[in-house]
Amino acid sequence: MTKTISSRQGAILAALLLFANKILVLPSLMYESSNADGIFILLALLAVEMLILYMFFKVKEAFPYQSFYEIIKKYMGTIVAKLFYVLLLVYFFFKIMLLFNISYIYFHIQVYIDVAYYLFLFAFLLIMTSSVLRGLRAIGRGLEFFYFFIIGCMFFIILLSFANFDKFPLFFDSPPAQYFKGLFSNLFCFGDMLVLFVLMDKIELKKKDEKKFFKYIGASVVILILIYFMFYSIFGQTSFIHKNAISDIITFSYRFIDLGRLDIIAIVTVMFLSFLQLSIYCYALCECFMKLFSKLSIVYTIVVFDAIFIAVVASSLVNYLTVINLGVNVMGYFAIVLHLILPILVLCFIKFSHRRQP
Amino acid sequence: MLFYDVQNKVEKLKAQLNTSSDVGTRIIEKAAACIGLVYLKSMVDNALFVDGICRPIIASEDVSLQNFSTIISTAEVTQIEDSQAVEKVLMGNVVIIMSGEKNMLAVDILKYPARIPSEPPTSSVIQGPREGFTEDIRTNITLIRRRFYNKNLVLTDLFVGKYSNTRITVAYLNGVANKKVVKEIVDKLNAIDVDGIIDSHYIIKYLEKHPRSLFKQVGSMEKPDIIAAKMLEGRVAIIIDGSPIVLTLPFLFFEEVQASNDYYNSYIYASFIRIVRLLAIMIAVVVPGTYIALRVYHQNIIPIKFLITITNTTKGLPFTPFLEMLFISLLFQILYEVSLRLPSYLGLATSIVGALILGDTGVKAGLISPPAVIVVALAKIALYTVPEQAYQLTILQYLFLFIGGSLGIIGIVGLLVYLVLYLASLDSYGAPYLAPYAPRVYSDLNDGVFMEPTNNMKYRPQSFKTYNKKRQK
Amino acid sequence: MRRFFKTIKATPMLLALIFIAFFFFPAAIIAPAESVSNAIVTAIGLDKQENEYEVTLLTFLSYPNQSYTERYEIFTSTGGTLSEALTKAGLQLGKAVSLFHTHTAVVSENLLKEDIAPALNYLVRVASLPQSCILIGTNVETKLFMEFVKELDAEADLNLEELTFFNSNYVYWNDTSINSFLQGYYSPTETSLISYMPLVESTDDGIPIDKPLQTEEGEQGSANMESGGSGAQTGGTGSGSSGSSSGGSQSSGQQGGQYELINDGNEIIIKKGKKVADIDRDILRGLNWFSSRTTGAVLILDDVNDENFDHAQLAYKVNQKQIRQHFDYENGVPVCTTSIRLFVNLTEVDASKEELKKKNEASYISDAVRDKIEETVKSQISGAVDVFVQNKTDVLEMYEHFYRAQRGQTKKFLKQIGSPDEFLSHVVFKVVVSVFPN
Repeated sequence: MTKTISSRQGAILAALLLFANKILVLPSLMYESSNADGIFILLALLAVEMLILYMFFKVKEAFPYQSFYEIIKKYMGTIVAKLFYVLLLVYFFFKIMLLFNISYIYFHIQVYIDVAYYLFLFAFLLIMTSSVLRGLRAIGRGLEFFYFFIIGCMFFIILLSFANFDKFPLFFDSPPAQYFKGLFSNLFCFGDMLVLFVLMDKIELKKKDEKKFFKYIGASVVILILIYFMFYSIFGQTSFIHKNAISDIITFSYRFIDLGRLDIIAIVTVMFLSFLQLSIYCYALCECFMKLFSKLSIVYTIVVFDAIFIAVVASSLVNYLTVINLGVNVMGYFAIVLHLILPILVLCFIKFSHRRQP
Repeated sequence: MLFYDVQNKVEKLKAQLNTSSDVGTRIIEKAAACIGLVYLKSMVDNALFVDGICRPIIASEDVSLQNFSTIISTAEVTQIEDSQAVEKVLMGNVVIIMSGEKNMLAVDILKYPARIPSEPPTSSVIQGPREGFTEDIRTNITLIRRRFYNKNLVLTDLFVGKYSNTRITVAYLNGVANKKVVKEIVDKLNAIDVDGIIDSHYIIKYLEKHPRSLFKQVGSMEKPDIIAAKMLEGRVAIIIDGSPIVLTLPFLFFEEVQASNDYYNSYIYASFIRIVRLLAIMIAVVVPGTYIALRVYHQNIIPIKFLITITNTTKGLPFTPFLEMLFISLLFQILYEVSLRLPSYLGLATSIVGALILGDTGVKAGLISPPAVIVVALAKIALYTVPEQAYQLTILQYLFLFIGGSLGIIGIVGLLVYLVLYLASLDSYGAPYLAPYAPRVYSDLNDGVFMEPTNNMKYRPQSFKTYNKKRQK
Repeated sequence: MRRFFKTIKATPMLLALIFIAFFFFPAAIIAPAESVSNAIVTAIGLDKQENEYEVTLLTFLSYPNQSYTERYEIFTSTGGTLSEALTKAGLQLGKAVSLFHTHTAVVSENLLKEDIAPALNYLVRVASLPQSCILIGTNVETKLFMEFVKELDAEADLNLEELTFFNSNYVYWNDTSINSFLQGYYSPTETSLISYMPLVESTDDGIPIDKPLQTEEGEQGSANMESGGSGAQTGGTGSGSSGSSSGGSQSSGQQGGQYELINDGNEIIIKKGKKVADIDRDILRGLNWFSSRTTGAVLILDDVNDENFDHAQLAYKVNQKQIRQHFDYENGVPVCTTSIRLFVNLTEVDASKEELKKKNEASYISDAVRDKIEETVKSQISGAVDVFVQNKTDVLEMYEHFYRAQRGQTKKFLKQIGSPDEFLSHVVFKVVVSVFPN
């Protein structure tokens, strides 16, 4: 039985991953660093994502059946390949911790006031583990199944948030240095397209399928921009106060006097997204791990990951504040390194592939 | 001499049949031959036995193995070896033993009481065929045959069960069904080594790829029109003697949302009602657990007006929310079981006990609350929009209740995600279980949850990888 | 045991179910509904008494009944900070205070005299309170106000939430929520508008209730009152049921009063968190001409003289408003050109019988009427702007509008005038009113 996912599933994977870490606390953080120009930072960083996607297409075109590890190993040696995958491993682990902590804080504040963290730890870990054991094909089909529901909920949230666009803060009101600061400090929430490189050999992709990718990712980009737009329109100068963007934009709707709060829609959407995104990250991390330790099977890999995850969370080594601080101050450098190494590698591989063709 | 020879053979055959009380024997002496008849009195048409076999034998002068088919014209006459005699008697044949002959003859006059095809209780239609399968495999085969006046309808017979030797017929359309799937099914059936097959559900677990799974992986229907339609889509039908349920493979999850009614009504209404069925499945499974989760963990999400009503009506109850819900659910379950087994003349009493005494009085006594009764009643009723899945959905309902009470809404959502991922990992003989939605098979979407008019369904479902893709021009 | 492990191996998810059964399921069996431990607070009142915050909670308390009957009680407590006061209130209630369903926050006059932003800081930080919660100012203690509101709901089924919802949508210039207050507070002009609902002694102008309310002087030594639990309570009620008989619960030594709620569309201007001015209905009318949100205003034109009427009084209802504003600088002076298109209906005529017979249709608009309408609108706008200029409160957000439209020039102009507070006084308003029949 085939172990690959179709191009449509790959596109949906990338599209849903684009929402990871970006719809809760990031709009408020962006406002703090760059005011309304946070939208330009969002666009710039999304453009970086598109660039990574484009590089993915080029490499896939040049090496349709090989994994990224095999390509690096073939042309650059095992050490370089392992080093790069160690970087990716750490990166994905950080992403998982970030997403877990942001989601945990959100749910803890909104719906689970008195509940201890181990409920979330158990729930998320269980789903991550079972998803990885079920395989990428099950994850891909599951993503395909939930995609329209999630996108529908997002549009519903946007439609239900009544914004006054007159209140939108002005653009270009910050000094230029703020843009670069904003770009750097918010970079840690981006870089999700790197997952595609790890899953390269498991995604069926033909030349004509690239449009499909851009279609789905384009829809996600539009929704993201709309969410940020609505958020800044509704809250204006008080955007820095609201740390749960997607929930707050719908809670603001005072018109629903009889229905009351509608943020249940946002809560359920974020829950679905969190589970699915964590599953994808976890799978990518396990892939990296198995490439580094090729003798380990998926079962042992996931058990090791579970043990490390529980140890780290239980020891409060990496809690919400630590993660955010790490992200803002340190992971930016990490992400820059990865984002710089990647195009160099890609350019090299493309050149090598042209050279080997007669 | 001739007589004793035949008598010995008759006694031997009778002994091989363990001298059952329903084994009938008759020895007819003629001038030049002696004929022994062995049969099962409970399995043959007695009138045909007397008029169609005994009388012609007695009346004719020249009786031999070769000219028996001219003597007996009422039924098929087959020459058999003595090793086949027992099997043939058991299958309702009269075995004819002739003196001086090693071989025997078998005359098929099988007859047993059988139901007339009638409308099955779980698949009523307002407009459309009302025939349903019966326990008689020959009737069932006839009902299917009638729908395909075509040589490409192929029937393969198998006999499964050490003691029951149940006849199982695998039916498919040659050139439409995937031969690999047919072979796989036949191989699996041949590999069954079991005492007996009483009903089609006995063999389901042998045919499923994931026998421990809660979810159905083999289709089961009681109506020949549905079976015929499914065979035209490329599925294989499995008919079991003694069971009115015919199985189909491959099976997809979304088949449960479809009903025969949909094809005999407007496609717009059919699409609408399929959405209602899906919603009903969701309501049945998720709502009780969600209600408990909201009451125990997430009161803040409940809109204020609901909250006021629920809080007022649940004040002072002796049960915790979870126990109350469990109590009412189990009550409904008991009532359901009782209504299945009680004679119909006691049905009214059960309704009164259930509705008035347990429901109304329980609320008035302050034991249970009206919102909980409404939630459970709604969920239990919604289960039966897809009666074939009712048992599985009941287990899921309790599972969601358990998870909702233990983990809250994150447990509900997590379980939903897990279930979808689990279903997405299942395959049914090469067809993805959640097709055509996960993975999306565009050509099959015209008959998924939303339905197109039948003149737009130009291709067979691609999920089954059939050979002959085109259905119509 | 072997069979158990075999089953686990075949179905690993069973392990997860067993884990849940051991660690989470026992809690599920014994956990009561969250309403047992969390109070449902529908309105919160903030007051300050002698450097201590006083919090009054309008709480829904359930009692067993099969009908849709709501019962509310008032709980009050004090503390050095709002969090402390709320914690104490929770002790009184015997439940945690949950603000998820709070739709209204009431602030007393005492607190309005100081900066209310620190008082609201807790409400801003706590994620449970939606920022769409309406903010109301009142002239009395919030305890008294809440008591009134509770009795109003019990007697007349008139809900504070519904009143404020109606005002926010149809009467006020803005939605007067906590969020809109904060938006103004953090803006360059630091000006916000919030709703104002005073309670006054019987004047026949407001919404009355039958039951006289007890003021603070009347509460000490009261024999009829059910005392509360903790010493922090300064006179709230205990758990008596609502709808108590009116007028019969007073004993000697108490002073009670018949109060009425004035819901006249009043608002107050808050600058830097403090109340600086009241806006009555007339000023609100002037203000509302700059907003297309509010409709249904009535224009009363006195002494209309035209070809059909002689010294008649006509009343027109404004069904629709279309407002366009243009912000520009002319000779270095900010000029706001407002074009107001009104779609009106004639609703009432006070004229002679013959005149009524001649012209009575709803779409009647003559040149004289147009002039009168324009004159009325301009005078109302002028009245409102004068109040804002006087108090140096840029309620109209002129500074922000000009900053959006002409950023460079506004920055230059700001350097000349010094502070955004002075900006409004320099703005020249040009108003053009066009009137059309609906």
